[in-house]
Amino acid sequence: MTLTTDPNRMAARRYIRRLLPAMLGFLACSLGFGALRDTAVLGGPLGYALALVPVALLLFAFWAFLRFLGAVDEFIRSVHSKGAWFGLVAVLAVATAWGFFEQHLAAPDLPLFWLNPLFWLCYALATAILSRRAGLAI
Amino acid sequence: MRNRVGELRAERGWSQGRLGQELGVSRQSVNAIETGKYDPSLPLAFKIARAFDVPLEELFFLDEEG
Repeated sequence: MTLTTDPNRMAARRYIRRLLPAMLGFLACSLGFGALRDTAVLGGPLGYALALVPVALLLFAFWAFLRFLGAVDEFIRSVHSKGAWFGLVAVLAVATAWGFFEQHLAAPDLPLFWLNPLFWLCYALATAILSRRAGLAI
Repeated sequence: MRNRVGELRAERGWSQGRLGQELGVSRQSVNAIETGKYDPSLPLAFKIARAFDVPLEELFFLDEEG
């Protein structure tokens, strides 16, 4: 194992260590809910309580992201902040467009929980492109 | 905004990594500043000026200043 004292690398490692379990937990919850669909477990208040578990994991992931932004230097922070901004724009654009499609064109319902992975995907893509353009190693 | 960070660093024979270490930022950040891809915040600009022991206005220029 390589030891590093670079604050940016250390912050990135801490961030991954926090983000990965949260995202795996989120995925497990999504799969678990799929398996439990149409069962009595998800029928009552317990179902609503269980649905808050992935939300807690999501909030934890955003907290980890905020900590990461606070720990890296200002240039890295600007790259990741711009990436997050692109992710937010993508989510708002897709949600708004699909809302109009559903409202006026009878498009099929889009499960809203997909907006979360969409955000992270667009954030990652935008950050990768911005990092490449800025000469940062990805 | 343009700057003389790369020029002053080369004069002193410092690597980007060494300057970054002195400033508490990454080598990539120093590179981005030198190549004009990123304009540093005012506190970081002051740190850079202090590292080179030059006034801020001798380090950073607005483009229209020529």
